[in-house]
Amino acid sequence: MNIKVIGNYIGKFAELWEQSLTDLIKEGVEGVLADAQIDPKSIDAIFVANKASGSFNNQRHLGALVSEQFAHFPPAMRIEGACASGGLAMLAAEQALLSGVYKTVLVLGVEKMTDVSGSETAAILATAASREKEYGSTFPALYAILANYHMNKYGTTREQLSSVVVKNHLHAFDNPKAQFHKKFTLEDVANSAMVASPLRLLDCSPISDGVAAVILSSKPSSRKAKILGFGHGQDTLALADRQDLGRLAATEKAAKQAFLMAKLSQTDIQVAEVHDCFSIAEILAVEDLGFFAKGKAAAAIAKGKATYGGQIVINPSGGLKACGHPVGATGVKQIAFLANLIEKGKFERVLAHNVGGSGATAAVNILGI
Amino acid sequence: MNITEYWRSNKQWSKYLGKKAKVLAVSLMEVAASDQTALLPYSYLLLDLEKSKISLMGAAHQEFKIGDEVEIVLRKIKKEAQEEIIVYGLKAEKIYV
Repeated sequence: MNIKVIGNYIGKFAELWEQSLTDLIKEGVEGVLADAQIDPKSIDAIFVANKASGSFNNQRHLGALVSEQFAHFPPAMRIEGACASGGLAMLAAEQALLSGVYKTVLVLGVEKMTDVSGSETAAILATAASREKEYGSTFPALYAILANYHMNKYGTTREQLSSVVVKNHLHAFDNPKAQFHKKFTLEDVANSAMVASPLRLLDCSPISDGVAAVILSSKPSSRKAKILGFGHGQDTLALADRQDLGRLAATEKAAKQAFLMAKLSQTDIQVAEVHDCFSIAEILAVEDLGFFAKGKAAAAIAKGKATYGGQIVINPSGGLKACGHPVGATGVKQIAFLANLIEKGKFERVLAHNVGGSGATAAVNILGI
Repeated sequence: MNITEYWRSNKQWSKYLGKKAKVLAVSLMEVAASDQTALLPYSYLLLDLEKSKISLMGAAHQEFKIGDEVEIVLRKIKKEAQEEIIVYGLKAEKIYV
């Protein structure tokens, strides 16, 4: 496979009151073109990742909105897979490049979430759950069910959940684009307001606005970051239909495909951006990706094995938790952030893991030099 | 939930009403989507029906824990009814022994 990330851009993740959805799209397009230093006309196609602009912003038809930023109106389509929209847009772009139909494509993820109230946001996000089988739930409630199950089965503790949060907020200090630059203690997390027991406010990723973009190309390039493998897994939409609530099977399937394609194993990966929409989600992710044994990740993270100097660095950007989670942008941000680390020569083998809903969809990308 | 969704969901009630189940996992919700904010706090449960599982809201303000026995009952699942219907649905009620 010969696909390189020849441009990357991440906008500031935050509550961006002054920027509209269109402003964010413009920023993403201009930013990634400036980084790639290519003629805009060389973009053959566009893949737009977005979860819910129709509900948040009364704006659908995002493909056209991004395409019109270019004088030659390249073909564009929107990809939706809940919080995995960015990861899925990457997969669609990679498959298009592998098919040979296109040589250079733009993947842009965007979400403008803060123009509606908190309860409206909760209702919009909950549309990624099973409407018929999970009525009355919210995303925190679904992940709280997973946390409750994991704690009961594997002995995962409140302190271990908190250690994920403390670590990722510490990592975010090195990321100027992160939504939060604030350190928290284990006690801060344990004493924050309850949202859906056992998950508290500081266990949850925030509501964010943001844009991220990458340009992928199969043409020769001097840029370093290369796509080595990718995978896509699916599982039941409703938790009640799952065989085992202690694992996310979609993540396991996606990881297996990606590692096989990359001809690498988990021990080759130095750093990973994983989908920590809630503290428990990072624990599930690093177990299901195979970085830690099932039931052992929480203790390992608490002991410092998932940060600099440990076994693997998990979520150096701060993750969804501290960098922010503008849903459609998240999966693209993971790739842009990791590609940038490779360009700077900081790491050589990295992995991105993006999840939709409570684990029904998962996308994994492995990048390297 | 609009009126047609509500009508369709009614058809599932007889399959579950009165069934006994065991709590597999539970969360006490302090924040909810706009349809349920007036019902807070309430429990959200994953129940084991032996041959299948189901997720339901807990009835009233009962406290649940893993392993509790429950019965599936009909209760209001949304406070503000639209289109002049009172929205009932399945919930789980704790069985006290």
